[in-house]
Amino acid sequence: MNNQPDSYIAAHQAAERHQQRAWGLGLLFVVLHIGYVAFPLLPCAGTQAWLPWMALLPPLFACGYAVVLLRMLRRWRRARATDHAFIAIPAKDEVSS
Amino acid sequence: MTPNPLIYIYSGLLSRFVLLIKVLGSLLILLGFLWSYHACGLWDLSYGTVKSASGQEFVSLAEQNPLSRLEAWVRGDASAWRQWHDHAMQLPTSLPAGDPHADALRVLWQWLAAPHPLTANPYPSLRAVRVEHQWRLAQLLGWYYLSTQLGALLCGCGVGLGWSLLHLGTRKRRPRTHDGMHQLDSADLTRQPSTLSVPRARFFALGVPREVLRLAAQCRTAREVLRILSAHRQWPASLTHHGAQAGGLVAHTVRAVTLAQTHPGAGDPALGTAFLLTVLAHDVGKILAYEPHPGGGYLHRSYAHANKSADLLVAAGILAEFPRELADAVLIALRSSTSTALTPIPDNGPAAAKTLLQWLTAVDHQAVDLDVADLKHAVEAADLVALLPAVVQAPAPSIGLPPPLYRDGGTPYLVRDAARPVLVTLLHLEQHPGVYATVGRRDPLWAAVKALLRQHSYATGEEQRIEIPGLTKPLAAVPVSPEFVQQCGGGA
Repeated sequence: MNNQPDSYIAAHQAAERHQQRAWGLGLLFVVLHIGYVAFPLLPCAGTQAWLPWMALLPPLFACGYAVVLLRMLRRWRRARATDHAFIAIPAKDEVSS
Repeated sequence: MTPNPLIYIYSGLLSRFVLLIKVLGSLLILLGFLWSYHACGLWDLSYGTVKSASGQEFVSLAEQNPLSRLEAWVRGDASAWRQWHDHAMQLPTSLPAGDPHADALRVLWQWLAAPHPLTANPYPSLRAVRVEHQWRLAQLLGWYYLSTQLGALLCGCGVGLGWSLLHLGTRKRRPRTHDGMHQLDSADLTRQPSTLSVPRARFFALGVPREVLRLAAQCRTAREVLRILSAHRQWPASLTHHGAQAGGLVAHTVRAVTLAQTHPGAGDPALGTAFLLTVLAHDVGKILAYEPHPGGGYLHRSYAHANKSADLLVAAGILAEFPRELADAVLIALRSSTSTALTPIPDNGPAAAKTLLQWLTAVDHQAVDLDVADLKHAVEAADLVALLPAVVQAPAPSIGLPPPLYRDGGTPYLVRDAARPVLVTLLHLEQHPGVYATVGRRDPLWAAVKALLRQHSYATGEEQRIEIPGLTKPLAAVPVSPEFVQQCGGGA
């Protein structure tokens, strides 16, 4: 097992991959929404056979919203925790004797 | 030459504008194709030619959606579930068929050749059916989406409510924060300041006196401490000093609390309960500082029992029950109680902590003094003269000690460290709490022996420290006369 900490470059590349994956998932999410909303207007008649599959999309959307909300909440909590964790030590000049 | 920063802004805006134009243009072209497909009638002709979307299949799959079902269960007849269900049921199973083999170019040409192409409707009945079907589909999908999201919202509200109640419960149990309180503690530490898992038991079985029960009745933290003590009733109060016998910890604590009830500090309106709690908890940390040895007896696990007493008091809930300042004073007093020389309360420390420590020290010493006084009575009541021959004739009581009668260059000595355990065994005082409470005090047992030797002129000199080969430190001993030794049967 590798116990060595990741290098800065490796961490940066991992973050970049993560970002790309997040963008890809976000784009897929948007495309699925457009597909769901525009489904009745799809000009190709054969697409009507896909109607039963549309029943799967709203629960998927709900899960997506929940994941995004939870991530935002976690980020907010983390930001709030770190806000209070740091207490600046006043400079020597600022300390009133 | 450095380019003007405005150029960057301008080029950025321009590229965004171009992208917008491209997207809008593509969208317009797409919509144009769609509209012409609709207006010329090709869409109407091809719409009914394939198997129509089946509402039944959709319903059978959508009914498995737990979020939508939750929304239906909560909102009843007003639910969006009811709406989409109705729309799904009304969805026609078949549509009037158009002409699947129509020539697209011919249809397109006829539309363009019409007098008013923008308002043309070559197949009105087919279009009416298609538009209605599409509208029903849109309503069905819209209501289903709404139903699912409302279900998810209800689910989220339920989870959020449960989490909030849990959080509120935790907040209620933890001490309230106030202005000026240190912010360095993390959220976990604030939620649960100190977590210790120690065995606890009902304290009524301890048989504690009324004074201790009175304290338990008025203080929840005291009850917790008593439960902890009750689960460790075999623990000693020390390993080699006062209360080293089994059960010494509970006995000393109970005696100290009983004494504290008569101390003026117990009647103090501000510090009374805190003082009694300090006394009750002052040695409870020994349950963590000592651990039973598999071979019998106890061993040190750590030395700072006073800090552990404070930790246990925090875990028992002192911060939740007492005002922060008072709880801090109790904890500081406890942490400093091991040795005021090593861990003194700083000058700017709370005055209440100093007072509590002073009272605690007085009561603790008094409790030990009472045990030592009790030992003194027991020794005075015993017939030591009759026991002395057995002491003189006894072999070494343990490895590393000489026999009680030791000869150094022909002079016989009665060695304190060897004679004392023999006398303790002969007097059956092994379980007496004061038998080893000799640190910093006059030992009543050895004092009685010395007085006896002096009284009968058995001692030939004052107590002195003698070097014994094989031992690292000199031992206290009293020189005795050869006649005394002979009288006791110790050999000439």
